[in-house]
Amino acid sequence: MSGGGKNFNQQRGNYNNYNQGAYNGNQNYYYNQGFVPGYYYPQGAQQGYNTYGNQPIAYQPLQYQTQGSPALSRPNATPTTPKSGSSALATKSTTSSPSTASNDEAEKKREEFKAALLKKAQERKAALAAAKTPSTPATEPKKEEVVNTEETKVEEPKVVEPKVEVPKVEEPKVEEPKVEEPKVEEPKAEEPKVEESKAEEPKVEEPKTEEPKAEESKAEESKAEEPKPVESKPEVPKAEEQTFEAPKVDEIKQEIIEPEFSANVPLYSDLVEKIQSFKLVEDPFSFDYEGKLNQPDAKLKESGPTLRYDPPFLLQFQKGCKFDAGDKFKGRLLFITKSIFERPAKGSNSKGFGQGPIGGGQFSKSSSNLRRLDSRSNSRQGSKRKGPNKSERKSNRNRADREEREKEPEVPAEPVKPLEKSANRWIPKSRLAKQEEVKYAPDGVTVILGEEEVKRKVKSFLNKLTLEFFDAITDSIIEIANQSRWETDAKTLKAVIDLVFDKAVDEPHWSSMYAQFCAKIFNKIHDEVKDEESIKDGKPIEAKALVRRYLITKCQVEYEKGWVDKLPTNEDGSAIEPELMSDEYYEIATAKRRGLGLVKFIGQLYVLSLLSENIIFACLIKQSSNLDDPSDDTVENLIQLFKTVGPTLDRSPNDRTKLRFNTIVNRIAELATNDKIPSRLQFSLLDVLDLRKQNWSGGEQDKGPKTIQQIHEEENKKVLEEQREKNEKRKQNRNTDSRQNSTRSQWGNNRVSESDMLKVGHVSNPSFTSGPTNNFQKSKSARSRQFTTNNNTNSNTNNNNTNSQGSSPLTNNSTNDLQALSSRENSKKPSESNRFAALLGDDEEEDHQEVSAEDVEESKEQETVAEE
Amino acid sequence: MSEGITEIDSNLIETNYNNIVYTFDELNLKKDILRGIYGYGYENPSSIQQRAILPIIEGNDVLAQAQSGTGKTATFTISALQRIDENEKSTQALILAPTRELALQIQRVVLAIGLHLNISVHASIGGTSTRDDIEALKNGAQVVVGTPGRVLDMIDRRFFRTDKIKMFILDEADEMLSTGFTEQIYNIFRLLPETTQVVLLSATMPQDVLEVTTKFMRNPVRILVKKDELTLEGIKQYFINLEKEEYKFDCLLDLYDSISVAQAVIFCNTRRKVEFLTEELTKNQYTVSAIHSDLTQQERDTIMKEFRTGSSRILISTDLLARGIDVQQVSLVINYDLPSNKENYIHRIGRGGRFGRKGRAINFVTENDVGMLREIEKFYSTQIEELPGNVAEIFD
Repeated sequence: MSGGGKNFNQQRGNYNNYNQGAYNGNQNYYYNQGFVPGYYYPQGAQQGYNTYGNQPIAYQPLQYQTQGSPALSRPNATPTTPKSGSSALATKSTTSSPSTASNDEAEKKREEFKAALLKKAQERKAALAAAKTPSTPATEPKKEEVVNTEETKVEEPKVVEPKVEVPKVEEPKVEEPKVEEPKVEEPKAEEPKVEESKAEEPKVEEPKTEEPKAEESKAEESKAEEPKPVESKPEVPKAEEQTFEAPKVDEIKQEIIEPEFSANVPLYSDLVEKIQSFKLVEDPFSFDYEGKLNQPDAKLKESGPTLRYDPPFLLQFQKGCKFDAGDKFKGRLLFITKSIFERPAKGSNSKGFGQGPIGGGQFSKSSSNLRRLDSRSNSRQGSKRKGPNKSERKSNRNRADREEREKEPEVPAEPVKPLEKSANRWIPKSRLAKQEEVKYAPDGVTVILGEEEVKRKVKSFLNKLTLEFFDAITDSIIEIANQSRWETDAKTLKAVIDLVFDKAVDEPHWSSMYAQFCAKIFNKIHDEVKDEESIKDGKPIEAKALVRRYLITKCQVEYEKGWVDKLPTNEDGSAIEPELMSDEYYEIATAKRRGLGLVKFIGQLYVLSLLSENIIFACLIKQSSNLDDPSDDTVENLIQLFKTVGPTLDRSPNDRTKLRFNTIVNRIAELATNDKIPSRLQFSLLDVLDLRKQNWSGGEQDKGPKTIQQIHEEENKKVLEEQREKNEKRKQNRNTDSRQNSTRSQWGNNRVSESDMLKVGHVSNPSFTSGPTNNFQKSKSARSRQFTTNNNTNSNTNNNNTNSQGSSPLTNNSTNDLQALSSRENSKKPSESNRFAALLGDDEEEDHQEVSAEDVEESKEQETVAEE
Repeated sequence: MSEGITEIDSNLIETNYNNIVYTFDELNLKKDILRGIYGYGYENPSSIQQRAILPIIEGNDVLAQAQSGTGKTATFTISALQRIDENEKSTQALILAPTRELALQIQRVVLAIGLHLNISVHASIGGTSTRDDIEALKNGAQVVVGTPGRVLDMIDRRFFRTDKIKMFILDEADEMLSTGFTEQIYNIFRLLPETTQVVLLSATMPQDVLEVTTKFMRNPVRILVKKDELTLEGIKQYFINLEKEEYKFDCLLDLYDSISVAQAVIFCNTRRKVEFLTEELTKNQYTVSAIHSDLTQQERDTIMKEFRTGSSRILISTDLLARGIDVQQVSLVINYDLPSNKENYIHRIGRGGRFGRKGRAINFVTENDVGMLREIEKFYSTQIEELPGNVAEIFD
């Protein structure tokens, strides 16, 4: 109320005038809204009410409607429409033109202004400039809009509302003349809009009231926010082109004057009552503002039904509109304004206007979907938002779009403080300034990496080590390890081996791969690498021997540690039963994984001849020494190690080895009958014995990682086998089944193949669609496997085949894949596993062709059967 | 967890049986079954197995409501195997499933768990040769798994003798009844001995399922098991403030320099980004499997297999596939993009049941994501910290 009641009243009076005459303009609309705030007045200053009461009869009862209706009746409105429709320019500058127009006809004074605007409008770019001039007022609305968009109802409702509304009014007029007319002429047309959201209604009448509602939850914030938007206004204007009239702004400000309201969040019904008790300022130009304010420029008085104020007048209210914003909101505001400024003004304008209606429409749609609960504030935003908004708050829109896409009713995020950076946060190296000095090896070429750098690089390589890139990646690591040749203590090699070891133990699934890598280090390590601290036979250990030494030492140390003592226990030392997914649970899981991982890795090292048989037997014997009451972990270790090294030991040509191995087998057999062992482990023991009986097929070596090719081959093979089985069955059927039966089964088959056909067509047309297979190929080629163009032709022909065959779509399909595969294989350099794979693949293909040939026959047969 | 997670619907049935068994050993199963169970990879019974196996073995009619993925199949498989007399070479258990695929899957489970038993299992499903069916049924398949249409046909034609049937098991009963099998099922019911034990499993209990239960079951033991809910409990969640989208990729690489990762799943919001990442990572010698909704089921399976078998170390996915990815070696989930809706967050990083590795999730956050980040925190009442400098220790 600090602004002074009288002023408000006067404005109200103006308000009324607007209603009568000039209102149709968007801006008018604005005014109304602005005025609305006046309602609040009563609290602050009651003097003005009287005035108010006279004119706005219509206004009071149906506030929303009234607002709309007056505008319609005005002459101004009509002119506006044509203008907007006439030129694209007009559209862009819509804001300016409509507003001007409305005032114009009534006020000759205004005409000048209009003329200027029109001119500008005609020159599109010029139009923008024009908009800028009037900028101050215009800006305000925009800012508010922006604020709304960005977030969230936090901003002051008062300010926001007027702005928001303006856009609405404007848009229809400018863009769609038809739409405008109805609105102008028929108050009702407008009414619906207003009514759409309760929020809007209140806005029109009393911005303040609205604000609270929208923000209900955020009432606190809204208070804080209010002042800021006002402040930001000046900035915004420049960016935006709308040519608003000064008075509008003023009104808005008036509304803003009362901070208290926002806090109160009065009910709508309360507002209505209050409004009715307001008195209107009859003549704002002669009204006594109690000396606190200057009267508006008298020149504007003549402007007809629409009341106009000069900017200086309106700006007087600015002081009254300042409130302290809470800290919370200040943070947000920073964010908001920043984003506003980042947007290019020009682009956004033209774009915004052009797209205006669409954008607004979409928005309201989404918002109504998304936020039914806060429909007030939202719908308000939605319906009032025009094009300009859209462009301005691009980031927001994006999110909204995304949400819409997902069809997830997502409440718009509240305004959020930007993240604070914590002091000890992790910073990606790429974001750090690089300032490491480069050291060169004695050869002057090789760069010597620092200890940290070695760790970092090797870690990274190990993280991505797969069979797929095995050669390339391991070469890189070995290269790093080889820098030890310039060291006396081979610390780099040691570090590398430590890292590999840790990784191998922690990731038992890949332990064969890591063991393979160790073997490669062993073979490829530079001869000059030596560790002068490890002396054997009076000489420092060198190269291969050193690698082996490091590995054995590491294994031994870790193995002797065991893993049971790493398990957390109760205070009395008994094992605890950890809750699922508790820290203890994971501690146990980790200890167990690493314990067994170590045993497995040791086994793998033996298989690759990096460890001696003696070491392995020592372990096996130790683990199987207690046949009476072994601990669970020993048994598990035994099983793991036995599984890993069993095939190798079992196939050893050496009699002594066989003998020793048989001892172990017997011990295991004995253990398996020991009922003190938990049944699960007993069965595991039985299972490994069975595994041996089956000549180790299906054992450990089949379960490790494979190349992607192998996977794909296996999958194809599976499909093929299924197909073959099917075919065989079908044949049998045909031969032996009664006629009735075969017809039946054929029915079934037909059905299946029909649906499959669809799939096949889909899959085997990869080159023409952007469908799934395409991606598939893409990813493949990304792995640097080339597809021969052949593949495409193949798939086409096969596709044809499929059509004619009908009954064996799957086969054809897989033929394609196979061919694709083999072509891929060819292009790949043959590493060991790959060669193996290639062999397999070839076989497959041959088989395959046979199968499909069979298939053709079969389908023929089937046809004949069907004919019977 | 939070109010945002929808509870599994309808508690139409209430558990009226509270005998819970916590280990397989306590079930007093035949040794060979127990061995099959452990060999199949189970160590301890799941929630439904703890509750339902015993009453079924005791011969009660049992009505169990449980989601898929709770260990249902093994539940009735174990029970059926236990109840079957290996020496009686005739059909003693009939299992019905709504689809051929499910029937085949059940058959595989029965075979796997019954590996060490001398029991014949036959799948009698549409689209296969009736001749095989007839043969297998003549030979007295002790367990028959089938789809209603074919099974009824076989019974009608007297190839399938039902007089020795002890157990009738309906899996996914709601599915079956909603796909028009009602009549066949009723007909099959009528052709079974009156003493047949009925076991019905269903994810939901709609009216038609309840009808079946009232018509054919006698004082059924009722068991309701909720699926282990996905939880964020025990999962460490971090964010990295990247400010800008362009920084994400380099950051990803840097992250891989700093911590040890066995396998990771990376989630993006768009397919385009999945492709972009796949390409870029591959250039950097990462082995990547990418999966998105435009792949056929078969292709997806193959790609998931690449990842499961450790051929690739990174799986890049969109939200559509977020559900149901569970790979033991996964130690890290990276939200390259924050999920566009908060419900997906838990599907991306949450876990149900036991997992071999501790869960960790890192969210890449740009300026625009802060709101969503806060919202997720609020929605799940969870804490997402900024990734601290000592990452290597955390990801030990």
